[in-house]
This record gives sequence, C-alpha cells and structure tokens, in this order.
Amino acid sequence: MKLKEIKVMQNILNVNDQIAETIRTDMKSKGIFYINLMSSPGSGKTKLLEMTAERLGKNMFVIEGDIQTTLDAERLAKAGVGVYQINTGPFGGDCHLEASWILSALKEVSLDNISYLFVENIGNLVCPAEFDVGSHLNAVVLSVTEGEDKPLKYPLAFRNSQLCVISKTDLLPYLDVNIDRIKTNILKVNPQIKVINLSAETGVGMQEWFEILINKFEV
Amino acid sequence: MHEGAIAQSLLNLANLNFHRSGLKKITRVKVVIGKLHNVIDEVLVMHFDLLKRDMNGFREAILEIEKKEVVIKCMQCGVEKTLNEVDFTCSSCESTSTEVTSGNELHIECIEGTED
Repeated sequence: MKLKEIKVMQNILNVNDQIAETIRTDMKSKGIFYINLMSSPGSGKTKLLEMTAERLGKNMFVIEGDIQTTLDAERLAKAGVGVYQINTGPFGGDCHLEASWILSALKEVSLDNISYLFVENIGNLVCPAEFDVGSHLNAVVLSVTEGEDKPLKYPLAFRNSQLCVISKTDLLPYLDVNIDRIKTNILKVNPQIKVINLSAETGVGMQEWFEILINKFEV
Repeated sequence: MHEGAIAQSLLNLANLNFHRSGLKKITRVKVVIGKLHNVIDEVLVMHFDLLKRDMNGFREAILEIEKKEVVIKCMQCGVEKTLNEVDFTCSSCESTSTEVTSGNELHIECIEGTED
C-alpha cells in the first residue's frame, strides 16, 4: 500500500471566517456598528444591554445566544429592544455562536433604521473567543465578582477583544479583589486592549461606554 | 468545549481536499494548533474519531496534532520569548508593543492517503 501526502495548509475555520467577513462588510455597508459581547455566565451582559437600550432604544437590535431559554431575550424585549433568540440546543448544544448562526439570524430579521447590532454571545469565556462572528468590535465583559485571575486563565477572550468592560464595580466594597490588579492582568494578556470600569446598576462608566458606541470604536 | 466544532470544521475541510485529491482513502490528517487556542488534544481526537465514522474514506484516518508554543516578538527591542506564563509584555524592555509570532496557528498541514 503506497501512501501519498498532500499539502493542505488551510485554516481550519476558514469557512466560518469567510462568512464572518461577509457579515462584517454587509453591516458596514448598511452603516450598522456591530458589537460582539463575550463573557462568563452572569457577568452582566444582559443588564448592560438593558441600560444601553435606555439610550439607544429602537436604534439597536440584539441577537441573543443561549444554549437554552429565552429569558434574556424577554428582558431585552421588555426594554423595548428588537431581539432575535438563538438557542443552540438543550443538551449538548454548542457553547458558542458561529458566523453561520448569525448569518441565518440576519436573514430572519429586519435591520431597517438600526444603527447598532449586538450579539450577546453564549456565557462562556473559552469557546466564543475562537469563532469570528463578523463583528466590528469584540467586547469582553469581566465582572469584579469573578476575581482577579480570569484574564490569565482564559487569555484568548481577552486577546481577541479590543475592549474590556470591567462590570459590577458597585460591588467592589464587598469583595476582596483589587480592580487595579484585575486591570494589570488584562493588560498582561492584551497590552493594546481598552479597559473601562462600569456599573450598569449605578450608571458609573455608562457615559464612557456610550461614547465608545457613538464613536464606533473600530479596530 | 469548542473541540467538537473544530473537529467538524477540520473534517469538512479535509473531506473537500480528499475529493479533489484522487486518493481512495485517508490514513492521516495532520493539523497544527497553537497553544493560544486552548484545544485539549484528547478531546479533539475523541470528536474526530466519532465524526469520522460517518465519513466515507476517513474511517481509518488518524489525527496527528502538532502543538506550537506561544512566542512573542518585541516591536521595540526585537527580543523574542516563549511564553511560559500569560504575559504579553516584553520581558526585556517592558514594552507593550509585541506581536505573536507563534501560538495562534489553527490549520491543516496535510492529508495522507492511498491511491489504490
């Protein structure tokens, strides 16, 4: 039996990346700024979007990713936001969104008069970072309750993001964590990332978040 | 658990190349994966072995994984270092202007098979 080796040298995720690039270009041509929010479960992504809706209202649309339930989508709908739910499946469902999921969702919704598209990725600090969903801005949300070491433990999410939102800062007085050490660890992983401190509960830091959105922070 | 999606994507890509190759069956798929990707080799192989069962030409294929260390190069002083801990600042001049020169790979290097 004679064996023959054939060189391939192709990116394993090239199909995903091509779809992502198509989405990115399409959103840009429509004048829509597209943000992919990634984080652990419970970091406050939905709360941040609820508070964002108070300012952007019907100018924003959210594609909500969860393995199961429509709970977050229901919260956002109550906040007056257009929302489309993706459930990847109750048992053994994917723990991240891929560009093809987003492309399918975009075929189902109207983005007329929308200036901001958010993907609230599935709560998981590992897998979502691997898959380009075609966004203009990847923002990783890290709550102070998660401790100081998470950027070091899960570096890819911070490497592949241009913005890090340190959330729930109103809880700092009750925690044995140092926000400067959190920031130092984030910058060790990605020295170029922009970091903002924010509490969606009290509103501290929301103005800086809105300025990033309004200025269409794009890298 | 992104290894499942990576296994599916790499088999789709390998299958595409298989059909263009004229090979009768695949015996080996070699991938190169940088350590930045947090891929657990055993989990990736497990998914590969499960998925290949349903693919003509791949049932005897093995997955070979070459892992790449994470290496950064300082854009200020030019020093290169292999990261043993997660700190992408330059250990020589402390510049934050560094680039990853290795460790971000995620590609199929080659497929191997028989022509008869």
